[in-house]
Amino acid sequence: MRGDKEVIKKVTPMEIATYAASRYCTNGMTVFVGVGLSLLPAQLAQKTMSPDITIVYEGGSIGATPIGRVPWGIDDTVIQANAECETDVVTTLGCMAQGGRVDLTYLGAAQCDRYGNLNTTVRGHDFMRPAVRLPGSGGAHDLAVGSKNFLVIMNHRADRIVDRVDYRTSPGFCEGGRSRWKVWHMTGGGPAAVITDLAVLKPNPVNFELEIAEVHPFTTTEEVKKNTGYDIKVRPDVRETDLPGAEEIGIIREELDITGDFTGWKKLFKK
Amino acid sequence: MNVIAQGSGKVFADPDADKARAFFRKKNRKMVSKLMTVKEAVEKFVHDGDYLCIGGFGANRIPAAVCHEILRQGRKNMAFAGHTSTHDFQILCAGEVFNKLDVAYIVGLEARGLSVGARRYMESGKVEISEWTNYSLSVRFKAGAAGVSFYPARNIMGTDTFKYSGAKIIECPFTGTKYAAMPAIYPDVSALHVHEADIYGNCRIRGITVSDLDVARASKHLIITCERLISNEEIRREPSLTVIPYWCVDAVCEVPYGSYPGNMYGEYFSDEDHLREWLKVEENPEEFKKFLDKNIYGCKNHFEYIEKNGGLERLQVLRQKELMFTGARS
Repeated sequence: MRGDKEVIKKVTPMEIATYAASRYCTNGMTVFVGVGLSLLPAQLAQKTMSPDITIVYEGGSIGATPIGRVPWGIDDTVIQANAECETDVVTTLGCMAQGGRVDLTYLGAAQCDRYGNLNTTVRGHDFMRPAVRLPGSGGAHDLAVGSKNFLVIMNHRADRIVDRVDYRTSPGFCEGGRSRWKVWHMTGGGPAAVITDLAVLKPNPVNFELEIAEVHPFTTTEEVKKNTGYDIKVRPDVRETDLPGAEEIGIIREELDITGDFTGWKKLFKK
Repeated sequence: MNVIAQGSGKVFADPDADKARAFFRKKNRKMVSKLMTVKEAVEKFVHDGDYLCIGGFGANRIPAAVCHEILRQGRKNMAFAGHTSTHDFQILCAGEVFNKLDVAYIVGLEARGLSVGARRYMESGKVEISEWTNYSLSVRFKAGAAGVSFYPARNIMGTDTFKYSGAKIIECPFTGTKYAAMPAIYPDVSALHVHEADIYGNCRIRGITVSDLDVARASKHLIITCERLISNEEIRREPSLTVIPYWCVDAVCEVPYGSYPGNMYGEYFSDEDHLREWLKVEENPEEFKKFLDKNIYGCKNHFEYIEKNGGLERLQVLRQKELMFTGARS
């Protein structure tokens, strides 16, 4: 890998991640998104190569096409105003996710382990007196179980991409191998990839452990390994992550993350 | 039915459908005016130790006026359903109203960040917790609404959330499929904010309904705050718009801008400046106390709270903002 630092003078790591994640969204898909960073890829896909996706928010908005800015939450007016249907949680997480009508879900997490299990509940090992109390599952768990596949978008740090999560909120491949299906009877297919500000991790097809599949052009596999909390394997066919083009960057900055809160692009223009 | 495994979490609301049925058999379903103030409604229907549920999703369509009044009246030791709960949760934590909690989504205000105040309370060890997910709590209300004691779901197995939940794993008698049995919740009292209601409690809602329709049907007592009162004739003119029937409702309080500082679909946008101020001021406990005295304890009602934060002029701005976004549909 190049380790070309010039790259991040023109595009931010989270813009690269957003673009990489958006490419999993193809026409005809029903896609669930959460808050924050996980909002952006589906919207980017919808505005570029996959206009015919149905975006669903668990609160009950189906067929949302937010206009104007990044919503504060999945209950935001910009989501509700342009949707095709406003309904309830039993329809979105039950009928759709549990019932097999969801193709792809974008999730964020505080921690992700080697099998793609996610923690959004507590940091620390004493559940009753946690070091940090986090929001909990929300609908993330329900989507991790029921969605055909899901993608994780998060920052890559050694205490966040870890051997074992402090608390397993949303299941990835559980204990590895076929355990997700054989032991725990889950319906969906688990994580397709974990996309971070440094790399794209994908599950090994046999033991389902996350491996380095792509490395963002400004960094190296060594850097990625250093920032990972377990002895992560590098795929033999590892490659550089594709960079977003001018069109995608324009849409991210001018239409989606106008304030730069999520991708941090405004920092590029600060002296 | 064989229980294959079960979580260690407590079930705070009694799922017994027979007891709930006995209660509802005796409950008055007369079509009488239920108009009252928020203060009267909370005095009458919200008690220490009750199981409480608050409607809305995140900061959308929340009965903020009821949450504030619960703090002013000093309710304690309640059980609470932390279901898609953000600013309402932040308010209730500030008053340390509950000490038993069903968790699905708490502490965070979605993309706005985490509430330091709510975290402080949750990390204090004062609150007994059962963990669930949004779908789990939704079907627990669904079971309550249908008058049964549990609802099967295919989630929660294989996680720590199951370990800390009160769910039980069972096998389907028809197919042998493994399900997590979710115990029904019949809340002692719930509060919902709606767009329009008549004096009897027939309600209309625009936008997402989350789990509110099931919550309304499962609750033993229900407080409705509404943006506008409308006539019963208007309700009867278009009955298909009625999403909550009057006999679910115990109190109807007309509170325009009742979701402030949250948003109300088609009416007004959330006051992001005020929510940001709230998140910021929580970092300093002294300042936060003053902030609460100003905005909750020192206010007579919701109108006074809004008056202190920009009044009608501010609301007009939020209204225009909302109409700009909803206008984007063309």
